Amino acid sequence: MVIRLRLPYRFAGTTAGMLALALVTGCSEAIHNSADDDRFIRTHEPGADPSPGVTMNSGPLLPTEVGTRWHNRMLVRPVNSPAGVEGADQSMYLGDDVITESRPVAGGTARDVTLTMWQNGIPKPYRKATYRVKATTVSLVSLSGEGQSLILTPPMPLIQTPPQEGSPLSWDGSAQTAGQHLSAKGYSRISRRETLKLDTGKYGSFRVDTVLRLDVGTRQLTIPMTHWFSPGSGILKQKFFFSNAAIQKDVVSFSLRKS
Amino acid sequence: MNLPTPFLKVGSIIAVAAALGTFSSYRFVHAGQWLPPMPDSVGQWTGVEAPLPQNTLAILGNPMAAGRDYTNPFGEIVRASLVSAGPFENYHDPTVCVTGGGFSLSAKKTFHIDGPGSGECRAMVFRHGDYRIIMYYWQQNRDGSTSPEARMGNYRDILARLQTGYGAVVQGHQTVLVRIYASIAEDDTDGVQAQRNIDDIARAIYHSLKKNGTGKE
Repeated sequence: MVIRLRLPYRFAGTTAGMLALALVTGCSEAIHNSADDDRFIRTHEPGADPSPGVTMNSGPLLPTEVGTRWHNRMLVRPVNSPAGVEGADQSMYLGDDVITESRPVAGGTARDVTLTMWQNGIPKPYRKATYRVKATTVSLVSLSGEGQSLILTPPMPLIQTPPQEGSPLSWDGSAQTAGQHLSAKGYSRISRRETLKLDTGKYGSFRVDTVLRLDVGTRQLTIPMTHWFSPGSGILKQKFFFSNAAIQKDVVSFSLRKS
Repeated sequence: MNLPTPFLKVGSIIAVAAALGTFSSYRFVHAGQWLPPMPDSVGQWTGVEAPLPQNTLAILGNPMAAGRDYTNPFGEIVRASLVSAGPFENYHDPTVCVTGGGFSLSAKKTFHIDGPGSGECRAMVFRHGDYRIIMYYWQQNRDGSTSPEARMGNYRDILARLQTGYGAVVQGHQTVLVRIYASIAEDDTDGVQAQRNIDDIARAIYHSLKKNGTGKE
């Protein structure tokens, strides 16, 4: 027995249309693009600004006059494990960084500027950092504190002018610490420009990521640090590790000394 | 023996269809036989081999594939993979695969990999809470041409499938699928550095594939 199913012409047409539509437009849900994160993708149009909306002041990347002072707030978090996992316990301190020394070097083409750091008004400085400031570069010369010191030879460049985002600077040298001379490598780059909000206003800055690698026997010790350089105002933010603590230092106000 | 004409007609049709099928199968297999190497290192980026997981390859129909993790001096990682594209099942699109793991697609744009005149890629951001991945995806043919479209997402990609079939069977393209991706760090505002990192690797791989395929660089 043969059963013939005769569909009305109109119904058959509708079915065929729906099938065709399903083939072309899909049976499943569309993959929804929320477009919430469009700002995360830059299409590299010629001349496009990678960090739009950041306005820079003019001036030296690091002032060199003795007495220049930055008042800051520090967040200190203990580093709990060798893997570098930061703990949740945080301590906050107020501190000051003051230029206590500024002397000409390299025949007067550069100055070594020493910043001495105090915490909560305690008269004993806990840390010192010396930077070499040239017309074209700012380099790290040494770090010291709590009986420890690290001297880099030659000084390790952190940022150079004109500042170019994304271009890494590499450095080969030696590090003197605890009576040892260790071979070292360093890398710095401007990751981006950022606007920092201080009590005294908004300041454009270059975020500079740095990694210093020391060869200690067969091991390699990696020391990461980040500086935010603001032209005309100096270092307005820092992140670094010190005595098993991760420290974030945010400048809240500063006073520049004129020469 | 004389066969009736209807049999001859049907037989001819079957023979032609079989020949076309065999030819198409051969061309699809041929399309998936090109797996060029990726650069060992790219500038300050050091690469190490990172084979694709077996279950991923199984989903893709076990194509020829290679993976490489690139690390820069700052400890940032960019992951890259190449998958030889033969049959359609090799063409799983990231918008389908990645979104299955709890991620959603939160941005998508298409642009030139290395400036005007270079091939095009599709950049996508996948998001899971506050965690984000940025990925570049494109198909690169041995002649250096590229295509950023999804070639197997869902049924709506039927035109893309026809393009794939035409490219593989008629034009004889040999194709690799390129995926390059990185996590966006929490403090990487708007993912500027993550995209810069991906750009470094994407440009190097694009030019390397072009050179390997035709030497036209």
